Amino acid sequence: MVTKNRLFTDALREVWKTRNRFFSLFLLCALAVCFLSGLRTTAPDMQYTADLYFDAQKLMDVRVLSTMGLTEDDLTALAGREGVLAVEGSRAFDAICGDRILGVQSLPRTLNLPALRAGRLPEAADECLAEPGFLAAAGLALGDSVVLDLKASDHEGDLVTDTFTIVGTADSPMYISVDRGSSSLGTGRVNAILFVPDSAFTLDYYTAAYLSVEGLEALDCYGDAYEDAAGAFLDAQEGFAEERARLRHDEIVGDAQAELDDARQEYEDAKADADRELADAWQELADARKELDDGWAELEDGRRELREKNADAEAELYDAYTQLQDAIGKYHDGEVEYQDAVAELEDGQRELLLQQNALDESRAKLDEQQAVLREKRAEADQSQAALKEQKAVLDQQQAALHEQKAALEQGLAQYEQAAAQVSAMPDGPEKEAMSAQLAAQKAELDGGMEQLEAGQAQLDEGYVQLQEGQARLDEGYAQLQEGQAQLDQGYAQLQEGQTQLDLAWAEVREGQAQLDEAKAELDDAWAKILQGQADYRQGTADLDKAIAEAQQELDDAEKELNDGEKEYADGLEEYEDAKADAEKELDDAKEKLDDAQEEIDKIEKGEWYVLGRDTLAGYVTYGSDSERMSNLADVFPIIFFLVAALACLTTMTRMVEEQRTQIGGLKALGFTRGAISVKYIGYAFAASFFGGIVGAAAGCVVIPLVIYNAWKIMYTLPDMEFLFQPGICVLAILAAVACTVGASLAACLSTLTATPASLMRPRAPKAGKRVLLERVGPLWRRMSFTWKVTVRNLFRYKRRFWMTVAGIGGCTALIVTGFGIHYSIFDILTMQYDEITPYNASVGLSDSITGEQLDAVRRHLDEDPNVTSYLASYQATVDVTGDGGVVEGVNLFAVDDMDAFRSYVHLRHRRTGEPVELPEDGIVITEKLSELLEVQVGDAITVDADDRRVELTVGDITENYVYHYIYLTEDYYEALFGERPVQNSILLNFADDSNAASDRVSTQVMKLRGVSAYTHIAYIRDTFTDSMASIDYAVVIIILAAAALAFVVLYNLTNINITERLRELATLKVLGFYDLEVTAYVYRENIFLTLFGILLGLGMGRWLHAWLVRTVEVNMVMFGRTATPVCYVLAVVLTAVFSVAVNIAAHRSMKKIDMVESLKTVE
Amino acid sequence: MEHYISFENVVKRYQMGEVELTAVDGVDFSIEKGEFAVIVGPSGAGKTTVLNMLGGMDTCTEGRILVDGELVSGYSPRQLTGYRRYDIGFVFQFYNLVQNLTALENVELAAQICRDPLDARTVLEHVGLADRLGNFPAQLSGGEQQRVAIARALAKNPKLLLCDEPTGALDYVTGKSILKLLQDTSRERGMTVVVITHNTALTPMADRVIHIKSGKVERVDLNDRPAPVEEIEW
Repeated sequence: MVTKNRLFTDALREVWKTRNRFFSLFLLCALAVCFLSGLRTTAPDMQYTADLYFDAQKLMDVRVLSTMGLTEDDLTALAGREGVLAVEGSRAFDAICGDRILGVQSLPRTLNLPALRAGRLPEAADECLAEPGFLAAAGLALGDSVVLDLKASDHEGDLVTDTFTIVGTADSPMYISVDRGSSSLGTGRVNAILFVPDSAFTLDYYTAAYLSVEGLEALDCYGDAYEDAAGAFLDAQEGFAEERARLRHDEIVGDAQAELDDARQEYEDAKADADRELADAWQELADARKELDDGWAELEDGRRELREKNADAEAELYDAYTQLQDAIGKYHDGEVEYQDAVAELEDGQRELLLQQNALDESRAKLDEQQAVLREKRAEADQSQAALKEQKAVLDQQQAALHEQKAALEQGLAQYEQAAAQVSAMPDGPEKEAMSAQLAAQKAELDGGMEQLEAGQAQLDEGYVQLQEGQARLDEGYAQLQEGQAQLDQGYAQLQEGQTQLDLAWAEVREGQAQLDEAKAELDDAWAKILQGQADYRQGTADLDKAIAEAQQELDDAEKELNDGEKEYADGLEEYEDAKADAEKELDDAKEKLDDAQEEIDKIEKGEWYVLGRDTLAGYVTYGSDSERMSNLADVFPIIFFLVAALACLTTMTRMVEEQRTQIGGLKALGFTRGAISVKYIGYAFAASFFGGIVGAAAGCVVIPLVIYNAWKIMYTLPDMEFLFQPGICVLAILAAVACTVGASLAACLSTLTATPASLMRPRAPKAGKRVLLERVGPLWRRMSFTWKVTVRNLFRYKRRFWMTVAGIGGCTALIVTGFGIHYSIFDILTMQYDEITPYNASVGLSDSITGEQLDAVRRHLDEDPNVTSYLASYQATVDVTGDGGVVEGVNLFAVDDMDAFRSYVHLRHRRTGEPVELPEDGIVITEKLSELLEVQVGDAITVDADDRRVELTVGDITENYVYHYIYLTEDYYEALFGERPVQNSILLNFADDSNAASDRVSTQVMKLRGVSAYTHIAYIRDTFTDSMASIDYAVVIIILAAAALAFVVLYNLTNINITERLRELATLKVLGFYDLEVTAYVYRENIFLTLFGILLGLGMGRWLHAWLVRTVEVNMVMFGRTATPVCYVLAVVLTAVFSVAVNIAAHRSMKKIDMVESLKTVE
Repeated sequence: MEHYISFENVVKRYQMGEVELTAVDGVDFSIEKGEFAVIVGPSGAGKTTVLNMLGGMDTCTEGRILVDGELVSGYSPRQLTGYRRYDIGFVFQFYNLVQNLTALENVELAAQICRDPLDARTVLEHVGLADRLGNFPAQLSGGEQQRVAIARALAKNPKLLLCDEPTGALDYVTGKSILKLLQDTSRERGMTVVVITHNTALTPMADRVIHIKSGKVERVDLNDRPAPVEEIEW
């Protein structure tokens, strides 16, 4: 059994012990190899992917085009050529579809197979296969129809239908870039290809023949072998092509002559027809004139009648109005009167009421008096009754008295008789006794008499009294009578008053009734007035209406007449035009026929073009774009390799230094130099080899994938296919191994050659040296020790110095480049579309636009509120040739009004920003164009426009970023091309640049005749921004790489700085430096190195960016050539951030330094 | 009585993986102000550990370390740095000069971080290097470098001068001159100097000799009449 090699054990442990250092070396190598192998393999991978795709789709190797078309015979002849594997004829022409130009092609069956993306292949003659991009751009879906304007395309009848149903989408291997070739139609560029079945074509010839050549499929299409073999085949076809062209010429001339003869006959027929038609038309016009004149006369009559009727009606209405006014006046008078009467009546009523009240009052008084009177009468009646009673009593007493008197008188009479008897008697006592008895009787009679007398007196008194009372009563009665009489008189008066009052009331009521009647009459009158007014108004309105209607009728009639007049004028004009046209047409036709004859007579022999793949635009640019990628591999990885080598050198030197004594011991033990060095070489080898393998593995996959996917935005290609390229990987790994192993060899060579004895001794520490700066006394004296140490250390460890500066510089440079590319690409959009060509949209005009149509477009633009200004100009797509080769698709821009032009396009020098003036007799070309053509101001370039070839002198070069332009004045154009350019493009400035506003303008403008295209610049800008978004991935990758670089380098450096000076740092700690002071002691160096690195990196970045931008630039675009200041600022900031991050991490390990280290013996 | 420096039952253990290693196992001693003390013992006895703890470069696991009445063993890392900064002057076996600074600058480097340093030039003159001020360490002999180191320690004007095998890397004659310098410094300036050495021959010159063996103090000798360096031979 073999004893284990203990040196190997030692080496393994060394790796484990210093795994951080090992890993950073590993990582650096991995990064370097990753970038080198990745960038190197990208181009082959890209070309391999394309080759597979082309083979799968059977992309033709050769195509044959002829100025006169190709026939079946031609195809057969081609198939018979040596080396031809397959031949397919193809029919194609360009057609206008809306605002796009489509290349309509017959569906290939054997060659150039479209790669179906969705749906199926077309079968029926009205089915088609479209490109996915076209579908998306036109907003169509499978199943929708595409309508071609074959007439405008000048291909009427060349297809069986102009409407095709989209049944599938496919990409053609012929067109992998956005370029679909140029066209004679519209904008001059074909937008998309449309494949229709061959049966849809009515063309009797093929427009192209595609060939595949034996043995070419097996070759890498971008390789030299392919180019040679294809070139050889093409060369072999020269004579054959000429022969076929001659044959075709003869055939065509024969056909054409026959056709021309037919046409001549047709011309004669047409002429006869035209004459007849014109005569008919003239008759029709004359009839129309008469009709119009009649109409005018009638109109005049109508007008007069209307005027008269109007005057009558107005007079009538005026009368009615006057009457109405009178009635209103009267009504108002009546009303006033009525109101007065009402007021009077009311006054009377009030007075009557007062009188009534007075009457009632006096009646009340009378009634009262009456009552008193009655009472008195009653009293009087009572007294009367009493008096009667008294009288009765008195009468009774009288009667009694009379009886008594009568009784007395009888008594007296008896007495006398008796006295007479007595007297008579003789005296005697008996006559005394009888005379005494008679005297007593007489006294008694006298007493009775007396009493009677007294009674009579009393009764008489009573009677008197009664008489008195009666008198009084009678008086009272009389009074009562009088009072009654008075009362009755009062009543009578009252009655009279009442009667009068009632009479008055009756009068009032009568008055009221009269008033009510009057009121009713008034209301009636008012209603009548209102009715009258309404009637009047109605009358007026009716009149107005009637007049208006009549007027309208008259106006209509007049308008009709005017229309008729206009129509007549139009008709007349039309007739004249038609007549002129017909005459002209006939003349033209005649001329054409003559021309045609002439043309047939001088039909050229025709030309056959036999072309290889190198004439396919996309195919060629893809090849050069992929090549461009390998250019990247030349510079980028160098930075990493440089850093890897430097890092390895430093690491190894330190390792060897650290193990000096051990090496001495091993040498003393008798190991050979080789055996000892294996450890160090092996260390570097292992790190670089394994790092390299990892890097190569990652690089060969990730980088091509990222780059390819970025390019895929511009090319239509399938997913990436990797080509196994061991050579490049091995080479990259070898380069990494060589760098690191070489570095470590250099590091340990001197140590290994020293004698063991000297190795065993501690090596004198690297001596301090005075540096140049110290000679600057004043400055040096002002510096603190720490600064002095820093300055001296910087110059003491030169290797570390350069490694750090290279690493940091590389990092800064990468960041400047990364951001620079971003800004270079995205800033150009701002500069191009905001500063150089700030117009908002452009309108393309068809070639056949008439002056009237152009005027209509102008009028429309004048009126559109969103269009603030516009400029018509001439633009054409031309091919330009210069020292540097041909540049296709250059926009020739002829300017009419220089002053107006300045507000649409700003020509200026890029570096100075000074405006460029368009020279009178020279052209201004864009910067990128001048670079591609390799021409300067004063050099000549050749422009191929249509069929003319003109040599021009470059007058000036202007800043421009997107597309190529040649600017010249219209006058100069005329001088050059012999005719004034027809304005075919209008630039627009908008008030509102939003998509919606633009769409509104677009919809309106596109409706106008003669407008063929509309382009909103913001849309182009967005599309461009989207397509360039992938560039940001590259920016991220570059910045990540920069960060990795910065971290690895700084970490390594700080690590070395710390371990290498462990003793010094420990001593400082023992001396009582605080942690931060110790860290600062080291960091001053780091900061200084970082600053220096950054400064250098900014310079490097400037250069790297400029180089990279040129490398990744595509032909149509010029990226910003200088990185903007913000890139530099970002680079400085980011580098500083990386540096600070690493230093913060290092501060921790510095805190951990054990002071006891300072006490250790020097190993 | 309060001692200027005193170690009270100081123990220091290290954890080395799974093994616990006791480097100092209950050390007790004291040193008075102005004394020239020598701590002597064979290799691995723990004298360097003692020096580290005394110099504030390491902490003790148990026990108390007092210097000038301050409990050094209770200091935080930052306080320890301050302690090293202001109170301790350290002389290393291998000088540990900053290679990139001249003799004068090395001394000034230490002086610049102190509160009231001595004049660097004067101190260097004192150690006998008046004419080598502008030389880099690499241009100086070992003895001269050690003098610079001593000057650097002295310039800080410390309370305590700690020397770790100051003659270990020097030849006999140079070593003697260094020792003389240290002894004179102690005598003339009243500086407390602690020298650590494995060389017992140096003991007669010290005021106090602390013998350490196997992490313990074996014995402490007090020298009433220390011998001048010139009389010592080894």
